Amino acid sequence: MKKFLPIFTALGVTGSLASGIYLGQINEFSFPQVIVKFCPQTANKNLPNGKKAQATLDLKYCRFRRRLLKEIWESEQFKAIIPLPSGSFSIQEFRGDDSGSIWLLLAPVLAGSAYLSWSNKCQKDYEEKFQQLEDLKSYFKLTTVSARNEREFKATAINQSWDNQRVKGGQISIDAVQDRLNKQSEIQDRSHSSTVKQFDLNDSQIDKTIAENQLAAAEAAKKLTKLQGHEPNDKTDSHISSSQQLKQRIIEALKNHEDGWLWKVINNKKPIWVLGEAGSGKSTLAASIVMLRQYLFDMPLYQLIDAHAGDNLKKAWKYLNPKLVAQSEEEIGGAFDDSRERWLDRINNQSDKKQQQLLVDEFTNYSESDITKEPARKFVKASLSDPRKAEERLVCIAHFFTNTAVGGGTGSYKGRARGTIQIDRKTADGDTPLKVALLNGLNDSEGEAEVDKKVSIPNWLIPEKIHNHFNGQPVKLAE
Amino acid sequence: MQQFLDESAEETKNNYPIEQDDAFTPDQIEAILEHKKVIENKIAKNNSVLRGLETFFWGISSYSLCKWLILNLGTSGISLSIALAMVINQIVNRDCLDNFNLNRVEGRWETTGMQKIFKFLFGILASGFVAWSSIGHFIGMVSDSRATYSLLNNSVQEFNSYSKEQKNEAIEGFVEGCVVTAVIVLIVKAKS
Repeated sequence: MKKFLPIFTALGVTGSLASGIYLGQINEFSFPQVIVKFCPQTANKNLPNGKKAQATLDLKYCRFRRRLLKEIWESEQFKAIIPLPSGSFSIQEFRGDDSGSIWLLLAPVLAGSAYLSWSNKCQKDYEEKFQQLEDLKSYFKLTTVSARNEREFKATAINQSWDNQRVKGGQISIDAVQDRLNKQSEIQDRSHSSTVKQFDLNDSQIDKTIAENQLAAAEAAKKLTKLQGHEPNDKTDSHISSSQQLKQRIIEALKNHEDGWLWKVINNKKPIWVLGEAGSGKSTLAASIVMLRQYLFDMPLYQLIDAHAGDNLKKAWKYLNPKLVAQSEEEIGGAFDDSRERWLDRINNQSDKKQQQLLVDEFTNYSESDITKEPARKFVKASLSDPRKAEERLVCIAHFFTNTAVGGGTGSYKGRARGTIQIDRKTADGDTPLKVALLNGLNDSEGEAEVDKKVSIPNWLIPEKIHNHFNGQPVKLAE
Repeated sequence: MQQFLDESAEETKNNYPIEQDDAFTPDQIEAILEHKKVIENKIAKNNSVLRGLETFFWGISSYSLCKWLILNLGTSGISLSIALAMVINQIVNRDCLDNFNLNRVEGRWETTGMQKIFKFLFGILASGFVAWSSIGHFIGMVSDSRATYSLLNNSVQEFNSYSKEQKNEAIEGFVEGCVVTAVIVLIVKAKS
């Protein structure tokens, strides 16, 4: 087919030239024409000299035949103000010969066919030449490979031949030759296994990187969900349920510890006094109680009143997050007064108040200072009733439960003893707290307040373990 | 990561006896380039013939269609033929005007693509030549026909008008009549 394309091209060119120039040529006879003769009639037609007059007129005017395009004749007649009188004219029409019209239309078609044929030929030529070039490259490549293999084969054959010669000549033994071949084979085997191991190593490293990326993505997603507080989905639901599970485990542990006194203490609205000598673990227990209430009942710690707050916030209060801290004497005195005012305000003016906590440490010292003495006394007196109504849970720390030790109040000891819960911790050496403690003030089932009830503090009841339990490292709560 | 993969690939290559794919030798490269050169020359020749055929196509199309228009439409086809020739020229040289730019840079007029403008103008001339060669004879026929009609009109007007002798006779008669009338009037007045 390809070899006919140039022929088609040539035929197309020749045909279009013949059609357009020769067969389609146009001349005067291609257009409609008229032959016009002006032959006026004499007015003396009926007179004796009529014939002679007519002959004179014919001789003068009617001898000439004029040819013009019919289109022009008609258009000029139409345009003239006084058209030429048709009665005086002898008009002969000739149709034009427009047989060349079809050849004129055929000429572009033939020219286009010639162009397309040659274009097709060019395309085929291009593909053929490209294939030729690729075949040439393939030929060179294969020839080179074949030649190289042939050279290697011949080189190997020659080497083997020389080895045989050496063996025959006694230069080396057959065993040495075999040994050499074995070593070469071994190297090849070990190279192969090493390469396979390398691939495995690469795969494992890629897998490790993928796993690390996925872990980072999951952690980022978790943080994002936490920040945005997203609506529960499957993953959020499981997170919530696991949080509930952690709370439930703690609650069960509290309820199941001995007779459940811990749970009753945590869940009680009475102010809690944690008593004991230095090193008996008062701060630890107090912080644990505050943290448990915080996690289990969503009670934030509103204020920490502690003359040693600066140091304790790095140690015993490390996991607490008080909104306010009163440390100096002025601040502590002010805090006591503010607390009473706050309780009254919460009782009288806030109907939908949220529960919160107040932690007071080093009560024993406040009766010694003139600035804090009076506020402390009033605070302790008010604490017997106001915090409960104000939905504020109070945890206080002192060495002893005497009037002086608990702020210098002069009120009724009995009222204070019944209106509060006291947990008295012990230490044998002033450094290590004992597990055993004395519980007072917690009402039993008959409404009677416990007196010097011996209880034990569980090992897990320390701030660090409570914090870890609710932050990804659940502790073993069994004793 | 890519560097890690590349390094590991290199280590693999060093450990494993992989058959290397050699490039062409310099002689082979030279032979390939020679062959490529020959191929490119042939393709260039084919392309130049193709461009010539394209020009031929546009020319013969323009010529034939102009003739066809005047053959079928008469004088109405003259303007259409000229327009067709111009349009075909525009199609063929459509890149000329696009590549020509006249910009004012730093207060001076700068032009780019002047050769394209020349090519466009040459194309217009060629189109005009093609159009004239196809319809020029017909335009001449139209002009001749109009002249013929004018001659016929003159003949008719000549026939309808008096001859010169008749005009002179008429004038003479009128003058003689006036003189005779004047003599008679004078005679009558004299007698009265």
